[in-house]
Amino acid sequence: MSSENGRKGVQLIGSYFLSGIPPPRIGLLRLGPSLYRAGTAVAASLEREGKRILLFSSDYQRDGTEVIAVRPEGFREGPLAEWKTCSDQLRREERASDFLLFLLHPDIPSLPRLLPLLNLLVLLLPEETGEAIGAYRSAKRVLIQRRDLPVGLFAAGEGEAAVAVLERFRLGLCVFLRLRPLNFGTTASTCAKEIVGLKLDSPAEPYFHGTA
Amino acid sequence: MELLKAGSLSPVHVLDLLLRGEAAIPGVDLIGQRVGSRGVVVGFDADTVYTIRVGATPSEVLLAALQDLAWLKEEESLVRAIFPQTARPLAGVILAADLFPSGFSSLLQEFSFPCRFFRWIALGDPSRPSLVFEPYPPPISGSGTALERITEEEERFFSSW
Repeated sequence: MSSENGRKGVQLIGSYFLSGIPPPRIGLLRLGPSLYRAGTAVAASLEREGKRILLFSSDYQRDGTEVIAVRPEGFREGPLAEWKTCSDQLRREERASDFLLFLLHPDIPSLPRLLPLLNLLVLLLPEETGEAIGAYRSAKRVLIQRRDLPVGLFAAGEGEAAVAVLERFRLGLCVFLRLRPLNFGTTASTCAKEIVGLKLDSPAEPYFHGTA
Repeated sequence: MELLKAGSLSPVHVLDLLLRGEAAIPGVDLIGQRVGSRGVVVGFDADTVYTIRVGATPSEVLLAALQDLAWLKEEESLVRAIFPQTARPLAGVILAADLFPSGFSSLLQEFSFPCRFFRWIALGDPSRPSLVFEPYPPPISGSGTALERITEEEERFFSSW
């Protein structure tokens, strides 16, 4: 076993047995048509920061019998559904995680149920300036339902357009919605570092109740 | 078109209209045939595959819907093979009723599995009814909608580059 694998193993076992506190839940809200990859890049970067990540996505395609797939980048991914009664495995996976990530888009029916459960919402912004108004329209619809929720902004793509969209959103959310969004930058690694640096509240209850 | 009295249309008839594509549940796609030996009616949205039960009240059909769900889970691989469009968790139930007890909406957050409710309303006459399904509880209109609306100033701010 390599030292890297050994370190991971100890981390996993330690977090499983020692952590009675449910991991913070982070919503990654896709505000554009092609931001699934941006979400998984953030998950991968968080994993590289040494955090155990469990990502739930509505795009997840179940392959075989396993509910959770381990991605090559190291994070685990599962279907976005509220299987609160269905699986002890999910409960164990949650206990072994440092963060639960929910890759969301503004129109999914489960959003109203998930939104009250989140500890942080990261807006995944499009890199095209032409998509900004549509993204803002969707974001506003969601944000007015949870004005108390910490919000971070991450623009996919490292070009000038992405930076411009990010800056426009920072200012727009301040002026129009009276929010103070956090700047998570335009690279997944910056975004991950910012998230790790936050002192996020932990939920009072685990997300998965299990059956035992 | 006249509103039919609650109960004048049988749940079997309502399901039949749904399966024949003569009625639709908003936001839910239906498989247009009954599935498996139990004859379960299946629908799905972006997240979840649901079993669908129709009755006069939610409590009347909840237990049967849960039994359908348990059966579907056992047959998951078979269902996926036949209906690849259901590549989502088989995890929820949809209940459509024409009557909800008062205060029922406050119980919704207690359900620990995905569950969507619809109220169905029958119009016309019993021989050729027209069905409308609406989400329960009905979406809040008015102040929420106004808050969500984009002002001209916001439109300009995010559109001008």
